[in-house]
Amino acid sequence: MMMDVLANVMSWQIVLAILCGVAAGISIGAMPGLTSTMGIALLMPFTFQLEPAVGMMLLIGEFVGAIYGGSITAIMVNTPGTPSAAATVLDGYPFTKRGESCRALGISTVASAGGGIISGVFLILIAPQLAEIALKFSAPETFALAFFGISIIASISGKELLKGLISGTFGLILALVGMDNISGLSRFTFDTVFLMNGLSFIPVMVGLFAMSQCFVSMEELYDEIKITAKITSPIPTWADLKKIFPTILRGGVTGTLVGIIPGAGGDISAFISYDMEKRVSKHPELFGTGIVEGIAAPESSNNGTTGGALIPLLTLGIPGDANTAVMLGALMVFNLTPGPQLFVEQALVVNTLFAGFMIANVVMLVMGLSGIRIFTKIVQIPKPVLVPIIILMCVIGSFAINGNYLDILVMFGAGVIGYLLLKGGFPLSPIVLALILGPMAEGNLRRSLVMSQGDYSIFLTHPIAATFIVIALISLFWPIVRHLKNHRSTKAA
Amino acid sequence: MKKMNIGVSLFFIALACYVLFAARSFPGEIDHVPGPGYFPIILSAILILLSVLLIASSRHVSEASLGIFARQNRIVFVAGGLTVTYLALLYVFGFLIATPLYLIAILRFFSMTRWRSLLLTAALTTAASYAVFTTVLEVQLPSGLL
Repeated sequence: MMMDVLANVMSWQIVLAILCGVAAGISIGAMPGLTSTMGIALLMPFTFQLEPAVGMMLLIGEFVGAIYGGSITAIMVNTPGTPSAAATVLDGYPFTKRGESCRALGISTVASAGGGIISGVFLILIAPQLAEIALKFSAPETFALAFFGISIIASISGKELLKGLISGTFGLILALVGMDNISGLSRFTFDTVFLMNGLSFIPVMVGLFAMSQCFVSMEELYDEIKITAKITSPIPTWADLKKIFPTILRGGVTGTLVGIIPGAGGDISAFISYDMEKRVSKHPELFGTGIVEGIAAPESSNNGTTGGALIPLLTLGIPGDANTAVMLGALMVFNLTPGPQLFVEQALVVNTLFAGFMIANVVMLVMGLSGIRIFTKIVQIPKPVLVPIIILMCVIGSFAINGNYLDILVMFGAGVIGYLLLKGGFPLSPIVLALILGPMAEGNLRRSLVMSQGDYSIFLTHPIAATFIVIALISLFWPIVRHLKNHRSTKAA
Repeated sequence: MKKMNIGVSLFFIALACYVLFAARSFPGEIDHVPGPGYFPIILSAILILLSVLLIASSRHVSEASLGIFARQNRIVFVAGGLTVTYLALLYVFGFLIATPLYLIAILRFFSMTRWRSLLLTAALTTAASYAVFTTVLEVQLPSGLL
């Protein structure tokens, strides 16, 4: 198996996919306004002509690169390219003000790669064990798992809890479209063959995450990014490396653990690690003035979440955030149904993804240290040129899946709805999460009840299912209780 | 934001009402097991409840600028209109004719004033994307009705 994996991961197709994915990811992540989710959604339709492992490596490379890429503009122009890099601004930009931007970029590159590699080790160690446990799951456990996945909507909605719940319910309703798998009845298809298999979720995702972002970008079309700092070699000194080594270890582990928790992403883990590093530091007062640990902590942590987030995705089929939700869609199109069976039936592909993930982090390190000049040039591409090109990719991408013109209209419609919802402060990730997990929850609930002849206690007599349902209820109602508590205390104040 | 919340809530209430109406023909239960009508009814009821809660909670929200219909957003509407026109042209004339026309129109609208660079960008982007997607990635592009 080991030799097969090595041969697979060293094939020119996978190496090229990793190189292209990481390069695209760094470029997309570095551009404020373009998100890693948008990058994955945009690239996804073009991967379906490729071998599953090659296509997935392109997306994983993009994911890894984009989370790191956000630090480039965070350090150089005080604007995080992605939300994950928001904490990097605190100590990153003071370096640029002192004329040491390249030193900061070097630290962020090494820390990001270090955090990513640590999370990769966890991914390789934990995922197969978890998958083995999940192999025992039947319909009640799978329903409970899907219900748990949907309950995450409450925690990923942030401050806009009510709006997040509305978005999630909207997503669940969209998931009803198509032929009912159990009874064979058509629901909300308007008697069209096009909707028989449900809403094609790739055009929906491209519309929600890429097309809507184009509309948002048009509002600030003439905001230019000017990088004036002189670019020199960003390779860190030995003294800096020694200083940041323990920080990277702590950040990488923290990031991985946060990444495993569905709903918590790179932005949260970066701030947790930054705060943790400040607490363990002998000079906490220096944080915020431009010190190397202030960059290494958030950067190792946010890239640590990448491997962490892949653990529940691959073993249980539960996406923890928008990035992995879009990747879940890609896995399904490749016929790689995530979950424990994937580790049995597609062991070679899974192990190739593990090895490829590690290589992607090494590629990111090399590209970050050697190609920073190129990436700073890409960041400065004017938006009036960039936006039409992204729209073109949205159109081509949504048509490419089935060669159906109606998919373009679905994409555009989803883009308009996404834009309007974004303007109203409605989070979009719950829609995708619900759209993907909805059919899994509904189908397995009904299958479980067929097994028990309509007796709902089946979910209590299966201990794993019962545990997941309890966790799901806590995950769903705890943010609501906390929200109400905060609301009351604000009112009282 | 207040108007926006109310507007979006009303849209979701209307959608939920439609789902409720359409779901009345689906069996709610088959042999004591939830049927195809069970989830649509539950979900539309939840959506109505949440939307009503949002309307109620919006009473205390300050009425800031609506954002969407603000003057500076004219660019989004015009570009959106151009994109709709592009999609129609794409259906009739196909990728190779519709795309350069769209790029010329939208780049011109986005203030690219020099005709030479405008035509060059439109031609090169169309040619490059056609070559990359059809030959390298073997992706099908819309060929149009004609």
